[in-house]
Amino acid sequence: MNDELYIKETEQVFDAIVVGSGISGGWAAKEFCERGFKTLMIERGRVVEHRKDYIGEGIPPWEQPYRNKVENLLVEQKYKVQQECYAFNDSTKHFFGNDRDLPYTTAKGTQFSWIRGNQLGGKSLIWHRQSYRLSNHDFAANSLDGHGNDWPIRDNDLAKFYSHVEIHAGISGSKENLPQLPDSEYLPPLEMTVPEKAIKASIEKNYPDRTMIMGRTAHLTKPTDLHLSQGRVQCQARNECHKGCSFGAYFSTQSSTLPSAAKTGNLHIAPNSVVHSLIYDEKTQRVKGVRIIDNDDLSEREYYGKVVFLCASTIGSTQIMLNSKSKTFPNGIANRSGVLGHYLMDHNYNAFAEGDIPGFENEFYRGRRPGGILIPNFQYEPSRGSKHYLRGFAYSGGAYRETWQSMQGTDGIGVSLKQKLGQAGKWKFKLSAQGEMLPRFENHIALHSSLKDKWGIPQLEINCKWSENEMLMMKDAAKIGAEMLVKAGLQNVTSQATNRNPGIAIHEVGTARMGHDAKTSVLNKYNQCHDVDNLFVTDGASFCSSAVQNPSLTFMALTVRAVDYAAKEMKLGRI
Amino acid sequence: MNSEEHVDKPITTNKSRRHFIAGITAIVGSAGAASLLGGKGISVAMAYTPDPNSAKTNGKILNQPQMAQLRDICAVVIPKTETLGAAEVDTHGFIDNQLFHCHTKDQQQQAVSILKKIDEVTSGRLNKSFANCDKQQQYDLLTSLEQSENGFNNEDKQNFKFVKALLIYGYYTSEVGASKELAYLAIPGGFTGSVPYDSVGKGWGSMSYY
Repeated sequence: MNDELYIKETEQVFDAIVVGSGISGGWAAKEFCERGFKTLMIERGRVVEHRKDYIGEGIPPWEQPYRNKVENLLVEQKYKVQQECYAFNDSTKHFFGNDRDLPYTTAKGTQFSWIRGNQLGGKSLIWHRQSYRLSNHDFAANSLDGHGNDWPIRDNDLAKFYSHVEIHAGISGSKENLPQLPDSEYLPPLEMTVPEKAIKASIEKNYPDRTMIMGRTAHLTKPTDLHLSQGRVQCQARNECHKGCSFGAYFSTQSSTLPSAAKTGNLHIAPNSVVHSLIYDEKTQRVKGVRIIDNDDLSEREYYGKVVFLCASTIGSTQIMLNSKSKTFPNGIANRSGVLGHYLMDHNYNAFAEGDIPGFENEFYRGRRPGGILIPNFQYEPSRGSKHYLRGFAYSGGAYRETWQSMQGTDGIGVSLKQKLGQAGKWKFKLSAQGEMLPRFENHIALHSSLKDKWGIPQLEINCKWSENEMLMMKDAAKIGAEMLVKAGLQNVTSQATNRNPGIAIHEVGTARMGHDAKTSVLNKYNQCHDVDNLFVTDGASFCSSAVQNPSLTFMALTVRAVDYAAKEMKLGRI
Repeated sequence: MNSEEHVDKPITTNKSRRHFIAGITAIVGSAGAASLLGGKGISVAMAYTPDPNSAKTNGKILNQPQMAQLRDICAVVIPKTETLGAAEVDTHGFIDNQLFHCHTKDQQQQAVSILKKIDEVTSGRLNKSFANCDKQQQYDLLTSLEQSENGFNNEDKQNFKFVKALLIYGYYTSEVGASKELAYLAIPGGFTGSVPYDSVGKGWGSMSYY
């Protein structure tokens, strides 16, 4: 990194503008830069430098002001929404947005938890790092039951781009040959504990259609020379990833894509640059740049480029498009179809089952595993689905021994209490469902008619709720989870369907969907706007369905494929 | 020496910190590690600093007699054994500070009201304050409280559960609790899915989330 990397005012017309610096933006910048394109990455937030700015890292609890809890006043004033995220705490709070500055409304009778990471690196610093390919069953799901539109791509369109990003990012996992969850290019998987292996064996014996595998994560379990050359080393199993990792052991923009992009000399970054809207040229029918409001002093400026990639997060990218109004596009750029803003989805994390595992008293683990097990979706095609609802769900989870923290409510005082809390307790096992959410036109975002944020940008009104299908699915997930655990011999098994808001899975996708038909979709099969040739959207906004897999790996692959296409088209003079 | 004078002072050169520095130095070199660690923003000075005299002065929420009473409760709930107990590491001071900064008015009130109730029941039964009881009497009183009997009701039990959870949190996130009473690994170096429990012999004090 050097000072010339960061720019503010410039008249330069860049080959490519990338809006956003998170998982998608980092990949777009790297791929353009490595192809020799002069690239401007625009980030609305501040610069976060790898290592130097991981200010919460490596500090034991007793040296923290409130032992990693966040002060009341700060939560009240700045983090009312963000604090709902499991990863929000005193060591990570600086990587979450300030709710006071980032207001949004929700339609009457609906709620949506919008978790923000507005800094260089975006949410790649604080993601959960689970990495899965989509399968042909996922790409075909909409067409088979008629909800949503058909994805315009299939596995063979994306496979080589998945491989490309996996090799660079480093994905740990085990080869499983599952039709619903294609294999990646793997580093060795994280290890299962002995009780987990026993539960896996039980589930696979009792339910031939199900399996339990180690979750696939973007962690360097065994770095390759490529990773070492990026300045990244083996995962140390601290599982404090959200604080930032100076070992570079998990994939983030800072650890992986940004160093590669910067090395080319083709990258510039405009931090503290909030994109107000895109500048559309009626004569050429192309986007010629972006209008910026300075994050700090609210002054205005513009940046110009030959092609624009929106990688500003699902909701962020669509907000920019909705606010880019022109004579040709009075309802938002590239929105002739009228579906821009619609078909918002998230994953439904609203069921769990847990129980005690008897025995294994002399079994323990060492280190803090940064991921758990996965039971892949076993209702991955209509013939395998429930009769009561459409689509399916996966479970993530894991086994652990009880700690003082999980026994904080235990009865007893004195020496016996201290002895109990000083030892690892019973083995426990928990499964949490992650369900697919159907694409529905009604679930949408729109610009608020009057409210604006401090940058003068219309606020969003989010209108999103679970449908009957999602609720029925979660009830079933709680029941099925409990049945599997009882059959595996667990004791004190409990399960429950819960009622958390959409948004809190932080897997929001949709709102600028791909499709073959320009009348019913915003983007074509290369994430290029049907209506504007030099505008691409490659983050989660482009999704046609949510599937059940954590979506980030697909953001990466779609982005790289779109850059590959755009670069070729530009060289041929067609963009 | 009075037990109050043993306090768990934050030690910047503690073992876990040294391990962290060693690990980082291996990757980025000593100059890099120095600048990296120099840039850390959450300063030790901001952390609640255990105070040997916190039971002798007013706290932020609790008055001096309540602080002394809470210190005694800490001593009974997690006593000194081969390792220091909750009172010796000023968990009472931590609780008062944490209540003030990180808890609601209702929760602060829960804590104050259970301390009052304990004193009321104690003086009704033994005609003296909780702090003037001997250790066995204090132990018996808190045991009655946990069982909602001898003058304590279920609401009292729930209020005490809240304070006790905070006490446990404070002790096991203190340096003594996390790294002496429990096994602390700042940088495990990798995850091993199966080790004999005997080889560790106690719970892990190093956790991903506190």
